[in-house]
Amino acid sequence: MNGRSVSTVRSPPSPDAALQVTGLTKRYGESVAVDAFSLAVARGQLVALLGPSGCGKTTTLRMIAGLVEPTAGSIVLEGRPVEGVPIHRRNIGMVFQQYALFPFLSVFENVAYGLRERRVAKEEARERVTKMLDLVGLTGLGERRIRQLSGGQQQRVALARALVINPALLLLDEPLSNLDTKLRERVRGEIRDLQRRLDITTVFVTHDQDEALSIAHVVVVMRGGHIEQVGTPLEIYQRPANAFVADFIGACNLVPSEVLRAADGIAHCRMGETQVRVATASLRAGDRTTLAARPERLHVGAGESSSPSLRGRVVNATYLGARTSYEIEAAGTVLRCDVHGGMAPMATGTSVSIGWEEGAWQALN
Amino acid sequence: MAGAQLRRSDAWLRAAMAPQVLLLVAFFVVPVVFIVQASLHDKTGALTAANYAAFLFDSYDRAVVGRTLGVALGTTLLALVLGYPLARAIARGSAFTRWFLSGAVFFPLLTSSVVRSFGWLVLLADSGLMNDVLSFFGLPHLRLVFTSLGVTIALAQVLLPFMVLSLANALANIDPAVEEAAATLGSSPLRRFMRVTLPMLAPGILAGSLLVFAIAISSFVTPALIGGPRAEVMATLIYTNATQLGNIGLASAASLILLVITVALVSLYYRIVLSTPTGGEPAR
Repeated sequence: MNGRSVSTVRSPPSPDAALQVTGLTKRYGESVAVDAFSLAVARGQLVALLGPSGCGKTTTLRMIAGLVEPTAGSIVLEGRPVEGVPIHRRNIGMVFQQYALFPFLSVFENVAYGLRERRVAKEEARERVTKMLDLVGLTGLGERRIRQLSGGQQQRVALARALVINPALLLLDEPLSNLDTKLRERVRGEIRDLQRRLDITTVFVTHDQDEALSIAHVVVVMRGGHIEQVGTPLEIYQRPANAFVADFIGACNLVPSEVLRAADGIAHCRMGETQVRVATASLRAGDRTTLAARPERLHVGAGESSSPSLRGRVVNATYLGARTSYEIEAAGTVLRCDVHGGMAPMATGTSVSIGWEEGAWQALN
Repeated sequence: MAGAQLRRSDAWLRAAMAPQVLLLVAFFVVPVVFIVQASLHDKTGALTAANYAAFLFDSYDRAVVGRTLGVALGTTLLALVLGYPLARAIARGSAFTRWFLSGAVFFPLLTSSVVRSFGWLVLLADSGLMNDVLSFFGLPHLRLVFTSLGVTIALAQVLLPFMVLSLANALANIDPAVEEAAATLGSSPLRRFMRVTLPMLAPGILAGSLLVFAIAISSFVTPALIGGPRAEVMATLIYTNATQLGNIGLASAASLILLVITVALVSLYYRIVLSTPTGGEPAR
């Protein structure tokens, strides 16, 4: 099944979308950084652009912000095309990777900056800045200098500064990459809560799949300037569109196979000495395909087990506390299987059987 | 034990520095003492403060001081205005831009200032290129040779590398994203420059300006060639009085006034450079 077709993102054209990007392209001489990127983002949604470095996600974000001039394509924000609208008139809030705070201004003055540019009256500005500082958990720190703040606090100032202007769109460029792991998880929860509370349309760039899966309504997986898949976190994880997405998001067993017979939307594919049933609309007998299954969907048992199952031999076992990660030689390849529960791992060389439930495997195109 | 070792290495250090200290005393401190002495005596050898008073009360000498400071200030401002776009291109441009412009700005430093100033003499002359261009566009003829304006233009070019170096250094330490952030928050390019770039660049501007000003007030070759006797500045006044008019007292007083101003500016420069090593606080 193709992830793109099951996407809940209302594919273009959608007059209802807060942000509508069509055919957005950026070329630098011969090389193409972003190639015909199209996406519709509904009002109040949080969309994550996810991909390895160099996939074009940051360039896409910077084109939406107006910081990079697109080679081709259109961007429509709140029903209005933004071509030719300079950055400072786009009403977009942006949080930069290194925060890009004004070091010569206090926390309060940093947050108030955009309001002053909008000629908001002093009293109202004071009120809005104070409210925003409360909202991001910086109550009472308004008079601090930027370098007196921790990394997490600076991140919140950057967020407050971008949000206080009531932007039509919030853009976040790897906002958590400079925080340590523990803080990162907390701040990402806070960003999600704030985004839901303010109901602000948000595009978020990250290379971290956990970040994308945990806070986004919709994840856009990118590679080499292209969109590989658009879908909810659940769809992206459970029904990856192709081997790249399957492999990039979490761990995945990918096994080349061929279709033995196909009927009524079910294909029987070869898997070592046994067969795997996968749902398919397009596969026919004799087709070659790649079968994919997550390590946690494969069950490992000592000795014989009920069908369908594969015989295998443990080649490596890594005890991780909550789970044990096995590498098992089976069906002419090595499969990764995760067993939950903290019991003692089986020794290397143990004969085991690998079982699965209906739907654990899927055929990738 | 460690203290004794430290003391011993201190002694070695002191011994190693002795020749330099001797050199400094022989060729700087002693001459300055002589100059101070000379500045306080008139031609007959009588003790007097007239040499200093001249720069306050004599209209010609006072004009020289005013012209020197005016030329230095003009040079600094011109170098600042011309230097900023260059510094920005060098700090933010592509590798080729950086290479090409750095070369173009710094290569003249390798040539003698006599050569550069003489080049300006040709350009600024009454029948020179500058006036040819002006008359081509129907603009009035400008007297540039033997005027303060001519000296200022030539000095600004000669001292431009010092300004560009200071500004480019300060700019390189400003994260471009800070200016981008200002843009997303609603600042037009001009507002961005005024509200964000300028405050962050201020230490770099001050450092570059002090450096250029300090070199400009004491420069000799360019004012001598382009200003000549009609646009005399402190340095040329010292030269003329010491070597041609035999007025050692006045030349000495002028030297000391220049020395005090320069030392004050240079110490201020070092205080700024040392207190803001990056030329502006980086965001993190």
